Amino acid sequence: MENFQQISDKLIEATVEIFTAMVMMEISVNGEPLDNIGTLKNSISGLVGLAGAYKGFVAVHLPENVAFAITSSFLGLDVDEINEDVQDAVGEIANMLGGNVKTELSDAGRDIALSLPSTIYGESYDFRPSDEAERIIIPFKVPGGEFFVELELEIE
Amino acid sequence: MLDDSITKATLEVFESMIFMEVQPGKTTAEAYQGTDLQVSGTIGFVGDFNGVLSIHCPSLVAMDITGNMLMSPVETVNSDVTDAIGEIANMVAGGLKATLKAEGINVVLATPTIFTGISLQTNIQKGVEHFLIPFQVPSGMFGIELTYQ
Repeated sequence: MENFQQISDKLIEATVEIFTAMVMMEISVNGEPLDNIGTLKNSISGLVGLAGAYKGFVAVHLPENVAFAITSSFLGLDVDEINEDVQDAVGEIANMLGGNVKTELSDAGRDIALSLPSTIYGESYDFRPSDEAERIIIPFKVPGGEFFVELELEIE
Repeated sequence: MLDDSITKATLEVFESMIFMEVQPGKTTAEAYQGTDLQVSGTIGFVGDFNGVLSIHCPSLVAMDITGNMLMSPVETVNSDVTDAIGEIANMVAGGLKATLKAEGINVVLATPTIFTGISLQTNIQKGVEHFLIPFQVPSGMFGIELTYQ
């Protein structure tokens, strides 16, 4: 595999680019990568699976208020509840991040495809991958608060 | 066709791996109604056909299923439970993959991921097809959901 660290670095670049160019929001990395994020409270997660030569997923985990701020900025809509617009915005961000990881991996000549994005939300939940694989969670900061981008990859 | 092959795959998994009686209900377009504490396993598949398959279990049902699978009772939602639910999502998706392949439709699976939480809701996105199959087991109901394009 192209170095996992390199792919993680690209994911940071991609996140910053997506937020700067598409979401129109200031963003910065908020500290060191994490192994675990514990229980998510009043949050929404967007997820896109990677399948093919590499298996895994890219996820974005957003506290509700951050998700609202992002949706407002991204879609130009005022939102104060998790509705279809918020789900679409979060799914689309996961999709764009997944697309970027796919491009990075395909550069190495690998065949890889993205699944449909899905979102899940709730008052309190834990998220975990089922397999032992390379996993990284990157904390980011935007004006509305903190959120996380997660990547997991295994080689088939 | 899709709901039939998912039902078939689910029954096979429960018969051969979990040794638990399971009764499929009527396929619905409704979203799964989250329960107090639930365990959801989700897996994406990609290829000639793109979608996401999810299994949603109330915690009691998830613990019962895991207990049967491991042949030893489980009393908390621990990593055995999340592993079991992820594995069921994987196996049911594998069954669907095999059915599709027999029809000349090729897909590959992503990795399963598991959410444990209170009143979780999954989305039904615009422009995406969706259905939910409820299943009855002795300790309650669980649902298997498919969203696809």
